[in-house]
Amino acid sequence: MRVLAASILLLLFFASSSGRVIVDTEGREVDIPDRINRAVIMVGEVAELLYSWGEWDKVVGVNRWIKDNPLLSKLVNFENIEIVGTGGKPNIERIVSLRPDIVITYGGKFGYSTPKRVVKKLEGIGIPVILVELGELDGVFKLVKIVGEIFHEEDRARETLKYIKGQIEEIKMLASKIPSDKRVKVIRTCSSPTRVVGGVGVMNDLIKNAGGINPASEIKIRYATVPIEKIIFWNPDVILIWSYSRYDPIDLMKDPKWSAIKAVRNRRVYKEPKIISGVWGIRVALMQAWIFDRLYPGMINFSKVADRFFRRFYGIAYR
Amino acid sequence: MKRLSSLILLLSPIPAFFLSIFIGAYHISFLDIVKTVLGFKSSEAYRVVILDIRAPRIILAMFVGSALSISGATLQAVFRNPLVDSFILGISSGAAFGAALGIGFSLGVGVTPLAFLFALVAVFLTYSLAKIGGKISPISLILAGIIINAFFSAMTELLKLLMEHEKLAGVIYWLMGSFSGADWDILRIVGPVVMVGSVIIYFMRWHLNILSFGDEAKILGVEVEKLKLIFIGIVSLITAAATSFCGIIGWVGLMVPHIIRMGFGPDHKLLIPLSITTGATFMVIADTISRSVFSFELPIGILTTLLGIPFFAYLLKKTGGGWYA
Repeated sequence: MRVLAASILLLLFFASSSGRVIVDTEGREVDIPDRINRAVIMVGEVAELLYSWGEWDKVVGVNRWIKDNPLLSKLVNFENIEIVGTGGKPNIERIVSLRPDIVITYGGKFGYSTPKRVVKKLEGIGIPVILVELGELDGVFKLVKIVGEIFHEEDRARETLKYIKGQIEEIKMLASKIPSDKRVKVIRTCSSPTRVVGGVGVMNDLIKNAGGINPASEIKIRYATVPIEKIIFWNPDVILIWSYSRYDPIDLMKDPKWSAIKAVRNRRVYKEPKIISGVWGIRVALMQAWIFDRLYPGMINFSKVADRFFRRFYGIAYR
Repeated sequence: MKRLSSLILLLSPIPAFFLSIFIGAYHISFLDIVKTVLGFKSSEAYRVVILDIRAPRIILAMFVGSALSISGATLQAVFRNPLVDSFILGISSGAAFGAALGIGFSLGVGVTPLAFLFALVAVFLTYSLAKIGGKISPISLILAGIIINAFFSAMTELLKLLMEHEKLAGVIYWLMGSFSGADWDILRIVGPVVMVGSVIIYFMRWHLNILSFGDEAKILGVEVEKLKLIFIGIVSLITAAATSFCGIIGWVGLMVPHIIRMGFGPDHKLLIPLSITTGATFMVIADTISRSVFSFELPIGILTTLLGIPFFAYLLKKTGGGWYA
């Protein structure tokens, strides 16, 4: 009898300790179940990672934008996956109705960030929420590790990290050999041509790693709208354009206001291909290589790098 | 004293222009600026900064400042209501909706034409809604304006929901207003529209005094409703043109005419020309600060409000409002 009671107690103890604690990118400690079978993923880059690791069958709900993700839309069928709103405006009822074991969504205080009261509500119902806010490049690495822990894919996470860190290190190494007088001045423009990446965030890190000089890094915010005079004053050698912007290199090249800028005069204005744009996930390694290739053409074979990457993680060819 | 200060205000756009052309994020020496303006040989960058960027931007800010001020002054007279400006007609929310549509969704139509189109659609709806029994009363106009503004604001919010965050950032920035896109092509459109509209209002400004009488004007044999329609039509066109290129710049249309009225009285003979020039000067000063004080650009709407409020508050305290219509 006593043995029975003791073993029941022991069983209960193990049952209750089957949960785990994960520290998310915002440093919050989140209790999650041992096995995740149903996940709502609001962060496109996390969804990409899960696909690449063969964990896609656990995704039951996604952000509306993930359906348009240039990579995933090629790879998966969204028929059986529920759309649960966007990061900034999630549909709580729909999320709850999916009975997820976990929700992974955007933290921070941006338009796309999930409001804190929604997070509280979900947690109140007993749905653990992992918040993703990647300040700098290190954040991407942290995210891969966290997602690996959540889905018990620690080994794959390690391999993935090794690959992307290796890729970035390789570019950094090549870039370090470029003499300081040959370094290229580059700005990266966003939703409007005068909205530039400032001195904070992943994009700024990638430019730095690629041996570029971002003159806008004097502005210590992620994005800043500057007077165009400022851009003429900086006189960048290269202009990179966000892949989803409404303007193209040709729009800048035919605008007289941009005509005095070196990048425009030398026609070194490039728009990021959509398929590599997604710097909060592992494609950051590709973006790193692409930026380097645009700044210092001929030093790497970008198509080969991209092809290797896509075959390695997604089993498809580049282009 | 009043004569002198009104003369100063009338001529103020000229010094404002010259002051502004010397200021900017790209530091160019006084001598180089003079050389460039006079057409002497100078660097390509100087030429672009001064002639292709600063000059059109300053002139555009002037046109828009004038357009918003004269529109406010006109509508305040037409509706005998100190609280209206041209945005009460639904222009801002209509334009915002058009812009959000253009920025957020690739429709193959530019942002500006859509903003302009929906600004006019909104005015038309407000006007039709406000017209009751062939007549527009100030109250019905304001209520109709609130309805249409609410409708287009809700629609804009809906679009914003469906939009990616970077595009959303573009919409939010557009909504705050900016002259950063100014160039000679824009001026070739906005300039004539604002100039022709302002000239017509300038020559018709006597009628604004008559309209200020309200229903008594009718007894004098004036076709009140027809006059109202003409004024609303002109005001809509010039505000829509200004707004669709530069976004929504609040407060100027309400504030500048009031400041002039408090300082110089309600006679439109003086109020209209002074609103034109003061609006221009005020906007140029605000925009010069917006583009030169910080390393990033401050949204113009924030500056017009922050700069205008102290004057407005001071004059309000001193004159008790000065609304005599």
